[in-house]
This record gives sequence, C-alpha cells and structure tokens, in this order.
Amino acid sequence: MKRYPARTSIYRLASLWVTLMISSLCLGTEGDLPHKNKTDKFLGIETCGSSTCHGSPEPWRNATVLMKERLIWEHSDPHSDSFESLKSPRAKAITKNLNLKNATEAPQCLTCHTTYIPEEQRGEKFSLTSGVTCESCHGPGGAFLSTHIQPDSNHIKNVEAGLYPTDSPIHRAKLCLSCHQANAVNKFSHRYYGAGHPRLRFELETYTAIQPYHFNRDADYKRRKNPASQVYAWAKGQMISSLNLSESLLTNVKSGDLLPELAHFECSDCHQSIADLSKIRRPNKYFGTPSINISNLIMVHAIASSTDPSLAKKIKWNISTLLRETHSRSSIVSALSNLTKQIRILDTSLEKLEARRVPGLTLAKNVISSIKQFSPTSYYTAEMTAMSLSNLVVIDFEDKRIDSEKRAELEQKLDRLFENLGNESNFNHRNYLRAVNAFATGIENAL
Amino acid sequence: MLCENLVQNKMTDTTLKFAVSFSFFFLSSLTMASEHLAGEPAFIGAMSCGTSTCHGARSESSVSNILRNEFNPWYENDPHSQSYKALSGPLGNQIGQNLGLEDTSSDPLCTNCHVTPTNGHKVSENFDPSEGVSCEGCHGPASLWLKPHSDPNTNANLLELGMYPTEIPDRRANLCLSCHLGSGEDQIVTHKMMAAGHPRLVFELSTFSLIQPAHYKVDADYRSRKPEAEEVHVWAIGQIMAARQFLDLVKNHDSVENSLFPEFTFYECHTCHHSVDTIRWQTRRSNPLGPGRPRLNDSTILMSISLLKIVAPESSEKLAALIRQLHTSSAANVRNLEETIEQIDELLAGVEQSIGNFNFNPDQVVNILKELTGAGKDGEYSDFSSAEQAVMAVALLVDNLKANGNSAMLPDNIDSKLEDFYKMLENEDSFRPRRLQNKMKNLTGSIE
Repeated sequence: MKRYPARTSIYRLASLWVTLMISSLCLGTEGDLPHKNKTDKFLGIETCGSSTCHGSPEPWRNATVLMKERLIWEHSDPHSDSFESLKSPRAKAITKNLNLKNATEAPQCLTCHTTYIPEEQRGEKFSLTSGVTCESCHGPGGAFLSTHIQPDSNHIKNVEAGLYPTDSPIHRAKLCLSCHQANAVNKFSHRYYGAGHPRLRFELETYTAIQPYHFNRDADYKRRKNPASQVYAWAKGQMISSLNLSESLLTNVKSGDLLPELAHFECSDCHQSIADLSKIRRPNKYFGTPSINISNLIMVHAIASSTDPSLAKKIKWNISTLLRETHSRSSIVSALSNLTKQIRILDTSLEKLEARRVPGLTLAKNVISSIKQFSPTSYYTAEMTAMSLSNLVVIDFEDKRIDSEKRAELEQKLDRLFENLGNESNFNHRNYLRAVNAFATGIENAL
Repeated sequence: MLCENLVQNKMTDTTLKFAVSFSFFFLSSLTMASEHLAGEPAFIGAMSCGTSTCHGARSESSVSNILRNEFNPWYENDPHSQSYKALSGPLGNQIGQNLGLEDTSSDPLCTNCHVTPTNGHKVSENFDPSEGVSCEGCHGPASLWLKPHSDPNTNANLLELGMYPTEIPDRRANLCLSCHLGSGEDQIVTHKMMAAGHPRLVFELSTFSLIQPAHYKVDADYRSRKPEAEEVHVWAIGQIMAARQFLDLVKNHDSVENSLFPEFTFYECHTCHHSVDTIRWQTRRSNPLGPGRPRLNDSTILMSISLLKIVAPESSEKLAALIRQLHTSSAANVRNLEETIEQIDELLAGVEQSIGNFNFNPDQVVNILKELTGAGKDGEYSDFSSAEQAVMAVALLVDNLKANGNSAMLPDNIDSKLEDFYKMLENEDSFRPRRLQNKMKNLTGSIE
C-alpha cells in the first residue's frame, strides 16, 4: 500500500522547513547510534545505491523493498543536499560569525551535515561530500552488507549484524533528534542561531513522512518488521523530545551560567519588535520572561490524559511551573526533574495506548484539550499541534476509522491551522484557537 | 550672550526632533531624601513658584537676573509637566492593566518617577501630584527657601535650606539618573514593566538638559552667581556617572543569582528584540562574546573609553580591557561579574574625581570627536543604544566646537552628516550597524 500521510499543507509548510534543516546523527543513549559504531566500515552511497542495488531505476520482481531508495534520496530528500548547503552564502555567513574557517571542514558543521565518522572507518567509495547518506541512518554497510543480501536474511538478523533499527520509534526518535533538536549531546545552541543558522523544528512522524518515505508500509513490510503503530511512534517522538529538553536544560541551569540555553525558548518571545509598545505580545501570563518551548511537553500531557489522567495532572503542574517560576532556579530544576521521572512512568503505560489501539482522533481531542489548558498557545505549540493533529487524522484514515470524505473535511479544517502558522512574528493565538475549535467540531462530526 | 548662542545653536532642528521624541517618554523626577538638611522643608507645589509675579511672567524679563517666565516653558514644552497625565494615557493604562495595578496615578511604582517625589517630607495643601514632575521635583522642597530666595538682601545659604544644586553637573546627573536610569532607591525599573509597555530608558545628561528645554540662560550675571557647567564637561560627567550607576544596579540586583534569567533591563534591548530574519551580531573588539547572547548595555562605558582616551589614556586602556572582561563574566557567573564591576567602578571613581575640574579645550574636543567616530568606524556601535549615545555625543561635540567659533576644525558638510546619523536611528527595527559604521568611517576621515 502506498502511503501519502501528510496532506498538501503539511508538505507545503514542512518542505519549506526541511530545505533549511538538513540532518544526520548522534545522541542520548549513544553507542546505539550508527555513527557511534567504532569498528565497521562505512562504504558510501555508491556501494548501497548502485544501479544494480538500491539505485535501481526499475522495480525488482521479487524484492521486498523499492530498490530505488537512492534515487528518492537523491532527488527529493533534503538530507542529500546537507553537505552542499555548507557551501551556501548563508553557511559562509554563519561560519564567519562563529569564527570558523570553513563550514565544509568544521567538525561543528560536519557532525550533522555529513556522515561524520573517523577517517579509518571510511571505505574506498565513502565520501563526506555526499552529505547525510544511507549509512547515517542505517548504520555502516560494512557491518551488514553481506548479511542483508543473503537469501535467508531477515530484519532481525540484519539488526544483529549492525543495521540500525529505524523502524523502531525510539531508535528513530533518538537518531533524528540527535541533529534535529538542540540538546546536551549535539551541543547545538543558541549561539548557532545568533550566527544565522535556521531554526530547528521537528516532529518525528511528520518529518519521517516528508523526508519523503523511501519505503512502503505495505503488508510485506508489516510482516517483516512488525512495526509499532504510528500513534505509538508519534507519542514516543514527543516523549524523547521532551526528555532531551529537560536533560539539556537541567544540565545548563545547574551550571551556574547567568543565562539558560536560549535555544530551548520560544524565539518570538524575545525576537519581537518593541518599536510600537501598544503591540507588544505577551508570551505567557508573566511579563518580560520568555517561555520554555513546552510544545512537546504539552503533547506529552495529552498522551498522559489518554492513558493515566492522574499522571497528566502532575505533568500539568510541572509544565505550569516551568512557565511560572522563572524567578527561581530551584523550582525550575525540580519541575524538570519531576517531568523526567513522570515521562519515564508514562513510557511504561504507553503499551496500554498500543494495546487499546487508541484512535488518532481520540488523541486529537486530548491534544486540543491540553493546549487549551496552557493558554495562550505559543507559536511552537501551535506548530506542534498542527503537525500532530495532521498525523492523527491520517493515521485514522489508514486504519480505516474514517473514510476519505471525512478525511478531506478534516484536512480542509487543518489547512486553517497551517495558514495561521505562515508568519511567526504575526502569529495570533486567538485566530489560531478559532481554527482549532473549528477542527474540534469537525472531529465530533467525523466520529 | 555667548552661551545663549550655544544653547540656540545646539538646538538644531534635527537634534530637537530626535531628542524630543525620546524625552517625550522620559518624564523624570528625583530622589533627594538624603540630599536635604534638617529644618523640616516641605513641598509647596508649582503654583507657589509659578505665579505671574514670580516665575510665571508672561515673557522673559529684561531686567531680572533670571528669565522670570520659567513656569511657561515647563508647562508648555517640558515633558516633565505631562508626566502625571501620562499615567492615565493609553500606554499608562495598558501598563497598569498588564501589571494588575489598581490605579497608575497613585501607585508608587509609577508615581515615584511620574510625580515630584516627596520622600517623606511634609507637603503643603498647595502641593498637587497632578502637576507631575514640577519645579520642586528638581529644585527641592521650597518651603524654607521660598522667602529668602526672592530677597535681594538675604545672606541665606539656599542650598542648606533645601534647594537642589542642579547647576553642578554631578549633582544634576544624580538627580536625573535616579529616574532616567532607575538608579534611585525607589525608582527601580524592571523588564517586567518594560514588557507591560513602558518605553525603554534613553538618557544623556547634556542633550536631555537642553531639550528639556532649558528654562535659563547662561549669561554674564548667571556666571557671576553660579559656576558655569560647560556642556562637554556635563556630557563627560554624565557618561561616567551613568556608567557607574548602571554597573552598580547590575551588581546589586538581588534576584539575579536565583532567577532563571538575569534582569533583562540591564541588557541592550535590541540584542534580543530584532527580527530573526536580520542577524544583528557582528564582531566588536569591546565584546568577545560570540553571537546568540544578549549583551549588557555597555553604551555609556563605550563613550567613557573614547572620552578617557583623551583625558586619561592609561585608564582608557584599562577600561577597554575591563569592558571585555565585563562581557565575558556576564556569561560566567554572578561572582565573576561582581568582581569585574568592582574593578571598573574603582577605575571610574578615580576618573570622575580627576575630571571634576577638567576644562576641555577645542583640541581636546576635536580629539574626543575623533576617538568617538574612530570607534564607530571600527564597528563599536553595532548595538542600537551605543549608536544612540554615540550620535548624541558627536552632535553635542560638534555643536560645542561651532558655538566656540571652531567650525573650521569640522568638515564643511557636517550638518548633513549629522542629519544622516539621525536618519539611521529613526527606526530601531531597520537600524543597520554596518551603515552607521560606514558613515562614521566617512566622518572620522574628514576631521582634521
């Protein structure tokens, strides 16, 4: 089955972002991640993507996969431009501002813009200039090349040999977030924004879809990989993002630096004009204090509301503390520590979500209820909400809970949400909320 | 009448336009509790001063040693007379609502600067808060000196009776900065207030004294009665005191250590408040911090570095090193920051003393001008507040040279160059540091 998960407006908006946001690897529980493999050789795209293998212009008769993966990557996936982007005028400006010599040679840039591995692991055909390639995500070909072409090969054997399990939501989340989020491991910080780097945005399922997919989630795929549901994947992405955020902020807040890491805050809370004082936007209930980017945390709250309402209450309290108690570092530290624990507890109940096959639209209702509990909705939360709701609609369509007519109706309403996200500096949370309410009515009609 | 010319010359149209738009928002008062001696002085209100037979004459007097119509320019043109009204204007209401204040017209948070502060002194029945920042806001509570000050035969020391010596530059600086920087004991200005809608504070002692507008003329009899405050000197004292008091606020802000954020009012507004589409950061020798960090508003320290280059070159070098240390330590921890501030304060305190009696000759004025514009050429004014301070300083130095008959030391088209500077500052959102840098380069190259 061919899947086109995201609607046109997601594509429109997200492809714009993605061109600016070109990723690779590295993170959290390291060792797991492809580039942390310290022994096997990385063979390069010419090895994986030759015209007789994954660069085949024609489908293979008995192949379980598309076999034209390289072509999709090369033509449509921004990862293939990630190294080239280091030569752009913008990249030159950024490197100059950061006092780096050359973006194409700076480890700070290469670590996310290429498959950045040590010299001795680079195979003959490997080239850094290919950008973020097959092996950035799938692991070093040297480890599993021979295994995966055996007639009796299977996914489990391949993974054992060294293939990275991108089908597993937690592994995929950690992999993607190692570059697509500022966090403790990749050391991406507001410094890079100040120098001109585009903003990092990420939602696991949306970005997996708009990459675009170079695989089909068909019957055969499901048989081979027994993948988790997409609702579960979405939830896992939100939780890992939140854990990364609190881990990174905790380290930083405890460090004694007079400023917290600004990459974790809403850009436009500070980056707004003060030329007309009657038009200053108030980001939260508190004046003059930027808000931590709580967009993922609010989604986590929505997930908890579906599986463990009493836990949701505690999560809500701690998220509110993050916004309210900025005058007290110790309150922030304890709220972040609490949230870390609570997300880990939530993780154990996530199986419930999976077992009950909670419908996407049920979660969508919870998402809407959650964002209303943290009013006014910030731009990032609005963005995360729109992407999440969009996924949840598609998921229900694919699970045949709603038909194409209902999907189209809902997507039309979702378009209004995305329209409100066109310009960050003009974002109006009231207009956005109206669009959300219209969508909520749509859900009631669809159920 | 030389100084009369000075005042008039100084008020070029552009300076006026530019500065009036600033000062419209900056409605000041004073803190003087500690400045007055005992004897129970009381505030008696502007109407006691501004009667038509005293300071409220219809026109300037040709016989008196003062203008006699001081009340009128205050009432008609001086934003201080509107300071109370501002509290219940649209912006005042907005701020009050945002901060949850019941009544901005009576809340001390507002009235401590928007009304003549009485600091616990007695108040007569004629004192009316709605007069805003009036005569006594600057000149001191008048009950004890009202009579003697109009008596031609008195020997009374008016200052001892509660009059405030506004003609002495450092005393005037103290007075103005208490509100225009928020350095007074009860005049704290916070980023919370700013976020609720309060305009940012901009101040330069000499420029703001003149655009108030001045309600006195420095002529022969003025000089016979009071020491003349020479404008370059006023500027110099104003910069150093503003720098010291600013740093003192940074150092003593009590919540800094426990709060997630430092008090943002100490930071240059536009280092954060700019569009994400316009990268504002650029390298600057006085700030070793890389991009992506808010920067302390170091505008008055930058001015002081150029000033000291001429009057105390060694201190200037030390200050240039310390300003870098200041920025570095602002990215470290409170302890480092405090230590650095103490070092800067010690240095500036010494300088303040030594320039107490400094008279600037035309060569020195030109040299300061060269230093300021030279620093501009080097890109030192990439932050909007520094650009503002630099342009005000350049304008007043130029006017000083002109007023003293030294126009020959300036390039011919200096007026149009100044006009260009002001234009570049008209819109804080579209300010482009590089353009200012180029104009500064152009000007510094054309000064002899």
